[in-house]
Amino acid sequence: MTLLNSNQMATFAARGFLRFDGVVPEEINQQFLAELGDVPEGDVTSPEAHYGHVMQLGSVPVVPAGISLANAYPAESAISQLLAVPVVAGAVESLVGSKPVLDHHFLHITFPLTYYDREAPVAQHTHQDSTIDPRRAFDIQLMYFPHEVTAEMGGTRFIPGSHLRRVSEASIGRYQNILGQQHVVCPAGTLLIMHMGIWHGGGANRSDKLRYMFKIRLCPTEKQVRLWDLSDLPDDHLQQRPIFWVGNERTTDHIHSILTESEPWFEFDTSRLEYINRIKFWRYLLDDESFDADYWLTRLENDFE
Amino acid sequence: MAPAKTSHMSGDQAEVPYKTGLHALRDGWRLIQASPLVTHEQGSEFQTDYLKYEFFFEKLVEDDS
Repeated sequence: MTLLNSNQMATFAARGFLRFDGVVPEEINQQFLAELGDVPEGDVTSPEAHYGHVMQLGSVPVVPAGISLANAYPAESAISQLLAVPVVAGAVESLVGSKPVLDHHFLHITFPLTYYDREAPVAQHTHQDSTIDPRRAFDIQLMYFPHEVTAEMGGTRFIPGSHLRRVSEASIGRYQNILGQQHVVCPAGTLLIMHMGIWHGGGANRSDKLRYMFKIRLCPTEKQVRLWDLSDLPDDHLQQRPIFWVGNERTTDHIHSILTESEPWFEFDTSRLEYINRIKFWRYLLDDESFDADYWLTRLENDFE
Repeated sequence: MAPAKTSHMSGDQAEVPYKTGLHALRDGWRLIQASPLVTHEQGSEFQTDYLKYEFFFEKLVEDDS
């Protein structure tokens, strides 16, 4: 498998997601759609009937919460095969370890407007999954897009960098548009891996095709410490660099830079709190309380009894 | 003439109506701040949650009807 590198992990810590376009081979995408019972749009009579058809075929198994990921899916199934793709398996192990358990999974099917007699469906409100979750440990959500998603199909909308905010599920629905929001428009076989705290919502499907998105939430069973490929971690990773008066030689791929990159929607003062929370998150991942980026925590910890 | 009926939903605007609040003020909008500045509770000074600075923009327009 291909574990994540340090820059990818730092990007996940800072922005709360990683995106792998077209990482799942087309034969697995086709197998996934065939197993779930995808049919031509003209053969789908109603959303209820199609969900019933998919449920009856059972390619997405009904499994208890907490089941080991290793035991959740039949070995030859498309889901098992996509999870075994080296980049996918490596990303999962880097984030939640080698023995994650499944919280839940769900096949989201978003139907075109022609399937609705009365009021046309609207985009899902922005929300954070589950409920207020103040843990330092984290779950991940895999979002798998088995076919191409065009802008008209209303792919998942999400807010980069929102994952460390402690909010209560749909309470954030009032935020209809946020500067920097992204909509998934992607080739077939794309995987989005999100921290559980990312603010997101499904879009309305304005195309004439069904849209499928399969989501799996995974929980770690171990401390998420140094699980990725650390071989590229720079030697000067724990050293401080000049701040504010920095000269002309700043690189953007330095881990300190990644952890202190603002998002366009951050309030100016709160962005500094986001950096602090990212640094604390990186300390957890690194299992090293001495780490700091750009002196944000060192300055605050310089206290005396 | 009655204003055109529009329907909004989450995620339907890729562009912000104004680059900054100052640009909106220059275009005739009035700003009313709606978020008090709250003391940071000891022990949770660094916790982030809801967006902090909510406000209203309003603009008075002539109605010929």
